[in-house]
Amino acid sequence: MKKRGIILLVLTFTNVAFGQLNRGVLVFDNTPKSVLTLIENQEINLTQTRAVVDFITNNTITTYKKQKLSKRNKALVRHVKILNEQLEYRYFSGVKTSLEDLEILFEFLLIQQSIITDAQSPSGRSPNLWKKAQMFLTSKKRLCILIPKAYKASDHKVVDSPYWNYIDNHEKMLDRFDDLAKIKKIKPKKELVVLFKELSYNGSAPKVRTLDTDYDNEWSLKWGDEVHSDVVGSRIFSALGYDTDHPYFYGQDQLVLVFESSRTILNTKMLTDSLKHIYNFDLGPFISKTGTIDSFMIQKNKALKPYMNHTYVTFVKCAVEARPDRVKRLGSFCPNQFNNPKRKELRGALLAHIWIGNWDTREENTLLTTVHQGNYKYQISAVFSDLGTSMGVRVNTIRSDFKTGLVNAFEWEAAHKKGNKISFNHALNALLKPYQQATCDDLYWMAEKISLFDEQMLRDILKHSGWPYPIAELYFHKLASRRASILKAFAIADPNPISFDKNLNITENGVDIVKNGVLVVDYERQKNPESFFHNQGRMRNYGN
Amino acid sequence: MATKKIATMICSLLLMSHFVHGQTESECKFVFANYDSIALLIQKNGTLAEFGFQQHATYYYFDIYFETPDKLLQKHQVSLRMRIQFRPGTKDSLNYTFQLKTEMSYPGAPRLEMEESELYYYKLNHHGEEVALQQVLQSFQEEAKKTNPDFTKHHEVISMWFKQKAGAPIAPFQGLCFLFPIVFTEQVIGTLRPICYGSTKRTRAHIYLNESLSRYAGIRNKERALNEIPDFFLNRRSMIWLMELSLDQAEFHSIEPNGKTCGFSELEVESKFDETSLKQGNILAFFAETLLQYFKADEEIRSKFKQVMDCLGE
Repeated sequence: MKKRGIILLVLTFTNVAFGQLNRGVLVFDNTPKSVLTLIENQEINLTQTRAVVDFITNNTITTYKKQKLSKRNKALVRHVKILNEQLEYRYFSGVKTSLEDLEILFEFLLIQQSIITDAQSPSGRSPNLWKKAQMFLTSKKRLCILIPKAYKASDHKVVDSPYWNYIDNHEKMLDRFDDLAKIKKIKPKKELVVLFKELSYNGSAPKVRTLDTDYDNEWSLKWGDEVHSDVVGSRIFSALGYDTDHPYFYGQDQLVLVFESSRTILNTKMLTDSLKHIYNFDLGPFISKTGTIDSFMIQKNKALKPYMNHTYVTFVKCAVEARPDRVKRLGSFCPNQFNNPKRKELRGALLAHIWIGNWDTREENTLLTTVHQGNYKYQISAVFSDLGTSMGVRVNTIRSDFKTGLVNAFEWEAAHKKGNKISFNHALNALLKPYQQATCDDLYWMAEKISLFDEQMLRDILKHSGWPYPIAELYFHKLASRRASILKAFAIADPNPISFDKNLNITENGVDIVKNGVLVVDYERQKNPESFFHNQGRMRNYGN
Repeated sequence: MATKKIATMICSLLLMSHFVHGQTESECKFVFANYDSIALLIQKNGTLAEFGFQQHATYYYFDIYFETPDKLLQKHQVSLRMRIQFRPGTKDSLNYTFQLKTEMSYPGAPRLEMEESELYYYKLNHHGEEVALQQVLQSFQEEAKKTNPDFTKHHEVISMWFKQKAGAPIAPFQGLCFLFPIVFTEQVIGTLRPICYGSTKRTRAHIYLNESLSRYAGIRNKERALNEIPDFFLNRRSMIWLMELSLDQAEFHSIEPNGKTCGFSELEVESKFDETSLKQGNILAFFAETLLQYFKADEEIRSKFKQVMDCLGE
């Protein structure tokens, strides 16, 4: 009976029939206590529910426990009010609460909590000393999991939820990142023109906010060590069924940043100075060209036409992360609250992090969003954000520095089984509750998803990374090897064996680039100013 | 000199602080004895000294204003209305809104506006029948067209809606609770009822700099996103978009059977510049000065609601 109810609910909340982003259901197992407090005698508790909805929709409420709340955007307010009206209509019609009502109430509480966590820990704030110490200690933990005696994988099916969607075949796995982009109306172009909007003060990676030439959508323009790894991490996670950020790599001169006279930053020098001031980052080595847009440039790229005589700059390499108008970002997706630590799809994500070697797994890098699906229909979606701190990370505690995308730091094996224990060759800076509570069965569930990757999928994902050939090839072999080690540890028969060579050798013009599976040169440093080889990270200006 | 003084006073930047959206607009408002002459000027896309007019839209509004039995809204200098907007030729030509607005107690006073900009999802169970709020408003408007309208049914349904929704998270109620938490309790909001209704024809026009005024020489259009630039200026990028104009012709009626009727017209201009940052001086004041030279106008700071209430003697 309960299962039937859940199936009906899945259908009810599947806004896009058989699409790629399904709302699914939030309630599973037991309804969280906090949701039950909004119900009284089988009816919704109108006063309590209205208080929650008021908190979400009322922009005159500007603080929570002295912390400043972000302005609630129109799309969120509209979405929540529409749902609330459905509830209230049923209430005033004397209809008893249904599973659908529980879903709505749960969604309200989740959104409220997300807004609160955003206020308590905004992404712009750098971690305090206590948090840094916690991160350090967590990083030192060796991850392992016990295999129960006579373990047999459960047949527990995970239903679609805002946290994860089931993908039923290879093609859809491969296309999912682009399909999600389409739903969000993200339109990356081969040659992208963006307009400088404003400086960013968030996080540690140097970035600025830019506008698409349609003026509706934004792009976060980034430089440094995450420009390749973020693309790979996000594409792997989305293929596994999660929603992610949408980062895109742009190579030399493929992206033009145009300065408009109405903005605070008017030229390349001002941009360089500002980035130096905010992030202590020298943009210089990353700049390819700067000048004034002329008719020759417009002839080559029609998108530049409205910006004749404007100042521009292009880069040796960079990445943009889409900030589409259709997606509104709230706070964290609350992995530690409600019944979320029990979710198999969240517990299982630990193994996905391990596979890509993601280090920064803090709650701040989880995100609850509303996605506008057209005709004022919205759905919430949980996003694994900032997956770029992966693919080989070196943390320097003394110098308070770290570097990602260091291929030599990306171990060949991710997991190994010894006795009744599986150990993982990886450290995280935060063990969220679902990861702490993850069981062998939860990780087995994810290992099965990982087994679905084949050579073509891995190569396709790496093709988008923008890594030069030797680096991409080495990463391919390492990802395949790590995948194999995971499947072996969980005793999963590999349905798509991918061959790899731990002693890979690559030479270019008689020069060894990769020798015995190790990158041995600081490869094309001028084209890759962040370096794939040296450990100096963003805090040390990549050694430039 | 006196004219200039009046104009400066009228247009001492009536800052409308859109509280919710955090926007600040500079605007000023005039009442004309001779509506036709200014209407004709706009209709003909004429010029007034160095100011050019380009009419671009005509909107039609139907408003229902609400009040508590002991006129608490008026006593607290706020108005509450539901509005049906008809904007022919636009994407969403018919729109329903519910707005709370504070009065301007003196020129330059910020006005709070809290709006429920969509009402399509509000409905109520009226004795077992599902009734959409928009449907009720539409029916109200139809009834208003009759010679002897009878709003008994509408009154009942709307009152029921207020009673049910008094504590609901609806922007104007949130605004009332924010401004006057002790006065506008759920119980008081539940007593709101229609007090008057009326129609307004609004003519919209851009005002642009017809030629280089010496005092505004070198003035440049404010940088805007392409989608925020009206078509008229998109094709004339060198033309300076100074202001937006709304000319309203309104007729309002008391909700009481055989109640009074009153008509009036008003003109509102809103600057498209950050007036405080203009070295050349206040454009609004200069426009007002010009306007007063050519037309007989009076300043007006009362909201439509207040003007109607004063006129109807409510």
